[in-house]
Amino acid sequence: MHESGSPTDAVPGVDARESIRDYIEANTSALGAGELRDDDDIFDKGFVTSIFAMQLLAHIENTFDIEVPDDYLNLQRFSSVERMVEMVDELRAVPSG
Amino acid sequence: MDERLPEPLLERAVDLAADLAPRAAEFDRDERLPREVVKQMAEAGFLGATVPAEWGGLGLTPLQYGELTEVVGKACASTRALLTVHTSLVAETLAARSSRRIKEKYLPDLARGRRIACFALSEPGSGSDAGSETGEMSTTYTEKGDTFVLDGHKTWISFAGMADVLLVIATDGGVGSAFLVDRDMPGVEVRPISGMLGNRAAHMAEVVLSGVEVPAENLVSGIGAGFAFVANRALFHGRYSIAWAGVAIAQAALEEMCAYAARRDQFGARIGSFQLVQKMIADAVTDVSAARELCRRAGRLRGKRSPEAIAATNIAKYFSSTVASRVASDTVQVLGGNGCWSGYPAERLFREAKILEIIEGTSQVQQTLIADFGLTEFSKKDWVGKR
Ligand SMILES: Cc1cc2nc3c(=O)[nH]c(=O)nc-3n(C[C@H](O)[C@H](O)[C@H](O)COP(=O)(O)OP(=O)(O)OC[C@H]3O[C@@H](n4cnc5c(N)ncnc54)[C@H](O)[C@@H]3O)c2cc1C
Repeated sequence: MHESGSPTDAVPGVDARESIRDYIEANTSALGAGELRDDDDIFDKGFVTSIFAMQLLAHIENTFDIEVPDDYLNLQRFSSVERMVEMVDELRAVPSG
Repeated sequence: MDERLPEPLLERAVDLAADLAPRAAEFDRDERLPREVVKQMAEAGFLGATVPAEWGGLGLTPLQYGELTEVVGKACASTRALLTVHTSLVAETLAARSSRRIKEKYLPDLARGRRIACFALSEPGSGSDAGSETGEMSTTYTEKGDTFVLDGHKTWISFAGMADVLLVIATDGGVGSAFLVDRDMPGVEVRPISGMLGNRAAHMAEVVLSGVEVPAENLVSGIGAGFAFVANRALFHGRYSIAWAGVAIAQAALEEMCAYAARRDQFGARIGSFQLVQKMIADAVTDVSAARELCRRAGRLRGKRSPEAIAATNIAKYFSSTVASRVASDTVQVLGGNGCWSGYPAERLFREAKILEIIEGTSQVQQTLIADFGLTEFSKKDWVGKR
């Protein structure tokens, strides 16, 4: 699980893990999928449908002020909180522009 | 954000619409939008309406695009369909989600209308469920050296009959990817479809792909982005376009209904003075205003790149296409026998409106998505409204 000192904490601004978790929880189907774990596959476990991937992408790009490049655009990278945090960390580490 | 079309562009659109409106019935009858209309749209810059200026487009905001779609769509649904398919489904999606290489290769031509694009998702056995896990999409791709080989059968592809480029969604064991296929690549066969209810001039065709070798650089976004990111993105644009198309048809029908009710006499009085006819007019006026406001709301959220724009677009598309159908049906009613005859536009608007309830996700698909949104957003009972 998340430990302080991870790359996410090292980057100033929004905490990626908390923000992504909150966003998924706020958008989880009310018909219920149980408690969200950071390594749950959110599509397989029915927290959200694959259409939500587009919304997650917009959320991630807006919140962390990054642009997710084409070769990151597959469902695997968006499939769990863990994987999205990894992706945000990677992209934040790349100087933009 | 710029909400209205700049005056010169609005004038250009109104002039073009004035030229199209009297010919729309002929295009519909002939089942063919003439090349020269496509050229007019291209010369006006409209085929690159939402493509950023750096790629040769007009860079319109979503609200400006909406206004343009309404003006064009009021005059001719098939011309508006070109805007939906070529501009929104394909060009705008490529601008948002394709590599620099693809952009350089295709976007300036698409934006200027030098090449025409269509969107190929649907298949004989794959409709509303295209992209879902239980769906049975049969168009496949396999990697072969530095190419992808595509095989399959697409149907109901608007403008495939005249397109130079096809944005094709295909699958490899459930992993969906999107490709740009040139019409003249060996193995691409286009079979025109005649006899549609509406969008009859939109060069509808089936497309058969037999061992089509597509260069790897024509993969749009990454492998696996096909459904979740490319097709959904395209439909996100397409639905917004259809939402405004609904407003356009409903507005055209409303004007027809009111003009007729104000001049037709029965029982020694204008039919517009009968309260039962007035009910249809009142409902139409109210519905059209509501549909337009929902489209504007979706447009504003899109302009802000808000994640809420997705639900707002689905709501606008669902409502506005339903309104178009209801208002066009009431217009046929108000025109009586004349409403059933092709000498008046009512019957064509009625047919065109029905199409909007089916394309870019049927009304039932929108209802499912909207219900899902509703359950998520409003089931918690502490909703106090968003600022
Ligand atoms: C004029 C026109 C232009 C088109 N242009 C294009 C184009 O350019 N490119 C392209 O790819 N496609 C295009 N299409 C195809 C269009 O997108 C499909 O027709 C549409 O998605 C519906 O699919 P279907 O026809 O297979 O109907 P089906 O999916 O078989 O649906 C039949 C009925 O079942 C309902 N239904 C299906 N699933 C569900 C569910 N889960 N819950 C409740 N009800 C359900 C539907 O709402 C509908 O009422 C076009 C169609 C038309 C008519």
